[in-house]
Amino acid sequence: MEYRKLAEVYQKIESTTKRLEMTDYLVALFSSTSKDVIDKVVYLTQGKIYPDYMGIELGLAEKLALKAITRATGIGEKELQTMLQKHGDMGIVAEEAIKKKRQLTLFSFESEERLSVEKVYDNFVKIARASGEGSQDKKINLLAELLNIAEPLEARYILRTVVGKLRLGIADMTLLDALSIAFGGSKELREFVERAYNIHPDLGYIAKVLADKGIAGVKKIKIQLGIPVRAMLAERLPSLEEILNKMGGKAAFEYKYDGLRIQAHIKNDKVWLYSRRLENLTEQFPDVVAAIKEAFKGNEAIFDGEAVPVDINTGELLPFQVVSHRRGRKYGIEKAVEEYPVVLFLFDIIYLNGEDLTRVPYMERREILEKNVEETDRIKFATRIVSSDIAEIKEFFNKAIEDGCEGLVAKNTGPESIYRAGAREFLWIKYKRDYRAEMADTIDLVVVGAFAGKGRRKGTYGALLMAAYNPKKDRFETVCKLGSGFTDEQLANLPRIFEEYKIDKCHPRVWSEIEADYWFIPRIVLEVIGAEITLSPTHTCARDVIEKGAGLAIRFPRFTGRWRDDKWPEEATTTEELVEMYRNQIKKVEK
Amino acid sequence: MRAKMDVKDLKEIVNLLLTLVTEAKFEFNQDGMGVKAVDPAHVAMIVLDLPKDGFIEYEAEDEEIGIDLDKVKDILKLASSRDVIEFTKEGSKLTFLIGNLTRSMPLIDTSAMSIPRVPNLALPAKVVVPVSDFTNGIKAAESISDNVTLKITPTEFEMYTEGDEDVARVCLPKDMINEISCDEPVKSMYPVDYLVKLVKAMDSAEYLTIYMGTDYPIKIEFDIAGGKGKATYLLAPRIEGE
Repeated sequence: MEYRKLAEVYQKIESTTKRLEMTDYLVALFSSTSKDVIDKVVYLTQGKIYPDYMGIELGLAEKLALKAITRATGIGEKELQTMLQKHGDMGIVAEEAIKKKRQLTLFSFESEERLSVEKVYDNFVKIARASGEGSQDKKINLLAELLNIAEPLEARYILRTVVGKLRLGIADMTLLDALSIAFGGSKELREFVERAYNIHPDLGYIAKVLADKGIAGVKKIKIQLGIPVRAMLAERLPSLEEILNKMGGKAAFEYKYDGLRIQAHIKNDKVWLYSRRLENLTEQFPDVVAAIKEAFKGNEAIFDGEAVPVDINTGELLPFQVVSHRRGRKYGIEKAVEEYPVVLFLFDIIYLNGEDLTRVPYMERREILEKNVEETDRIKFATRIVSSDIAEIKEFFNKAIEDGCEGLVAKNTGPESIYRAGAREFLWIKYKRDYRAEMADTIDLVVVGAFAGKGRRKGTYGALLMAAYNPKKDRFETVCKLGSGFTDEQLANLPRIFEEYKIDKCHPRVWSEIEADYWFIPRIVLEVIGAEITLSPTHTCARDVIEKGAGLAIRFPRFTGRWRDDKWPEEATTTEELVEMYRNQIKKVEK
Repeated sequence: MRAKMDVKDLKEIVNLLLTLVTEAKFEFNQDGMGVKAVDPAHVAMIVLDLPKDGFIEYEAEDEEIGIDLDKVKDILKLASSRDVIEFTKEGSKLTFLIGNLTRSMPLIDTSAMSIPRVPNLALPAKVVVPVSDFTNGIKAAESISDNVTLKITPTEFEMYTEGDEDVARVCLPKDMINEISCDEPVKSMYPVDYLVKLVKAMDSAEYLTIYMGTDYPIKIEFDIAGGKGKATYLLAPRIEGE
């Protein structure tokens, strides 16, 4: 098949914004494409060479692409640079350059050589896979080879594709429409094609199956280990009451962790991890790979969950940014793993030992999940309740926020609650908090207890239990666990410093609902800065003042390094001041 | 395969090939050695032939050997031009012997390397000119532009380059040329960088036999290995822009 044909279709698609017209052009293209190359034609039309989850992408550097154009046309790089500045599009630069082409090849004089789809695809694959010494030159040559015989219009799309910017504006859904019509004669088949796509998101493969075996073949496409399933997504409603209503008065509520959605596939010893956007993350999370192998007791499974970095001492969930530098990184992963271990919170299982569980109702799936996985330090189940009591749900929501989550995801508990791969429906509804109270100032808190250290902090304290002062009741009310901001030396010295204040149990003037490992006489005051003040069902600070059953907590507290030796504990920040700060600083979260 | 030859000759062959490629597939048979290389952009090609007599000692069956030319060039740096070099293929290795020095290197897998096909070209005009004049024309052109135009008429051979303001011209009338055969004037423009590399790599040639057409590839034949071997160089033209 000639590549020219693709280029002509792309040009037509580019000149329309109407989805129906786009679909018509694609249908005509696919209908006249032979079975052998249909997959390649589909990938190229997507601007790719493989499905995303393979992790092999085009994306040749512009610098190299310009060199290839120079090699093929004899037009100097400077001149091309000027053209690039003018047009801002490598495709147009290549097109213009080929039009002006001055350099011919030795074979231009023999026969009319035409660019085939296969040749373009093969060279793209070689460009994407070339690595190591001399690979830059190899890439330039592979591209120049195509440009040698390309016509101007072909050159436009070859260049855009090879630099990873084809951008025809064709949504996957439009391609699904076009494939259904081209191979099934109508959009009627769309449902089956889409189902196949949701559990095997590889349009080239689906096109090939359609072309070879028709709709019967597509219906047989099954979940396959190692190939990501498109994630099920949640709808959104503005209040917990509405959600409960929509769910029929009762629902399961899970913590909505603020991390990275991960789909984990296990096949005996082999593990694959995929992101929500189907990128392969296996290399970046060796800790998760090892943890899931340990926690899962069967042979084959696909899990859905959220990976969140955790402070091993405070137990606090950390913002995802602390591990985001792992993404796209090949080296130094080991160190990153040690610094910021992640915990994978599992909330679903969609495949187990050869059986597709996507049509099994949620409540049953959760049961199967809990039966087949043993919780470890690194693999946990998403915290959840099943409830119809709005007060209980609200308290659970506050707890989720205090624990560092974004909110809750409500899940339908009925028999209709299947795993709808790739769909966003009301079977799952998310509710995120719509306010936050950011802290601008430092506060002074009293140390009332401590927790034994873990990991690198073994032998000293892992975190301190901090309290604010309530002058009306003359007592200290807990507000956070403080574990960051200390130097290694300060950390090591903590047990020695607090030795003289140590007591057996919680001090009578301290109100705590948290069981600390060590208790102290309230005496030492530390200056602390935090990210925000949240409502908290666990901490006792200003309990019931803002909301019944909820106290206040500081998120991401950090020791500023300043020991307030000049302050008596009664001079610490008061609970009233914190309430005031909370009220003053609260603002709507932009959604 | 085992062969012994002058370092100077091997150096010339390697340098000529390196103007276009970094790896090449050498073909050996009872009669001698041949190699063809085309640059990745398919703009130029070189065909080299060195018959058995061009070697000091030579024994070979039909064999194809893939060689990393940069490595050979490094090995040749260890020798002086007056030295003799011997090379032997042993399994998948090629061993060089220069005086007391032996140096082995792995051969490149030739299965993925194709031997370029020599295009069939009809070239109506022919001229034989001294290398020195040709080299002058190229070097003059290089400082002005990235192209050089070659022209053969029934009465003269001309090379010229026009920059924005500068002009360079080498003109050889018929009586200063060894041989000229041309019915109609022909004229083509070529990328000068290819020709600069070519003339730099030449060592043995005194004359060049040039075949040309209009807006057509050029074929240049010349001696290698002190006249014991032959080279053919093909270069595709450029055509005037706009």
